[in-house]
Amino acid sequence: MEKDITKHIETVLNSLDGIEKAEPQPFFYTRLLARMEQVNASPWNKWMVILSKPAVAVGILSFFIVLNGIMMFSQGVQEDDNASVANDYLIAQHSIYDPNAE
Amino acid sequence: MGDNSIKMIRHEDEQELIQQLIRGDESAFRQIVETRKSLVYNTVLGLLQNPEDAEDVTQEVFIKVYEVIHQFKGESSFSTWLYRIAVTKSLELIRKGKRKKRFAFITSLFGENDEIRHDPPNDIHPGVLMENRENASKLFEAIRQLPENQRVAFTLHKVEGVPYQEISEIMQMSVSAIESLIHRAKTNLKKILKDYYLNNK
Repeated sequence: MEKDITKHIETVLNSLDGIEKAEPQPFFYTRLLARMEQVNASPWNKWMVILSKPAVAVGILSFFIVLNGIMMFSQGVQEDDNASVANDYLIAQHSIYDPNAE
Repeated sequence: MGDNSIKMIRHEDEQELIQQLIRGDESAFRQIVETRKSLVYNTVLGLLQNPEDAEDVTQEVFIKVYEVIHQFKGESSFSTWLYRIAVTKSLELIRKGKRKKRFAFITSLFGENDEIRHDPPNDIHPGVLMENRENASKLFEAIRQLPENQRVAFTLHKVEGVPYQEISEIMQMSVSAIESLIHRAKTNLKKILKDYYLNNK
């Protein structure tokens, strides 16, 4: 039985001998062009192509990093301004979580 | 396996076509597609075993060629470069199918009964001789269970008839590594088939 199976496995392994070339359906090039036009016509794809360019991607990233820096800097200045106003008008700035608060 | 379905083109002419395509000449693209579609389609079909998927991926391969032809530096032959894109695109689809299958259980819980769609194809390569179809179907089923690199090396060699040297260039491995991969693929296939026939006596 085992011998029969081994023999059959060899037949199965050789079953691709003499395999013939297959051809895509006729008018392959026409369908390919239609698909390329469809891909190019999609506005989302156009944006993706533009956004995936390294120069654009790095530029956008840099813009957000700079914007983030500006926001953080302006936030810091605003906090300083608040502190100076509090000092000028002698307003104590205590937090309810501050153990030394009165 | 005969190569007569590929319209032969001289190496120099192909290099000229590639240069024309880089310059954006559409007729050069058409000629490249017409002369190389059989190579790409058969490679993809050998790996995917489904004519519709194979046609789809063949289109994707040529779209990729059109987009990145300027990156072809001639370090390998154009056919090796094409094989490489065809194998990569086929593996992308196979991996996507595996991922979908992995999530099929979850999607089925939400009412989308996806199990049938995620099953491997039952189609068989149309070039298989009629008398071998049943055995070839079992063999392809076993090939689908092989690790990815064994599956690629074995299919390129057995189905496409690509010599070891070119497979080594396509897979960017040494010839001895390819020989070893194909040897291991055969050993694993024998084991898979033996288990199958012992369990289905």
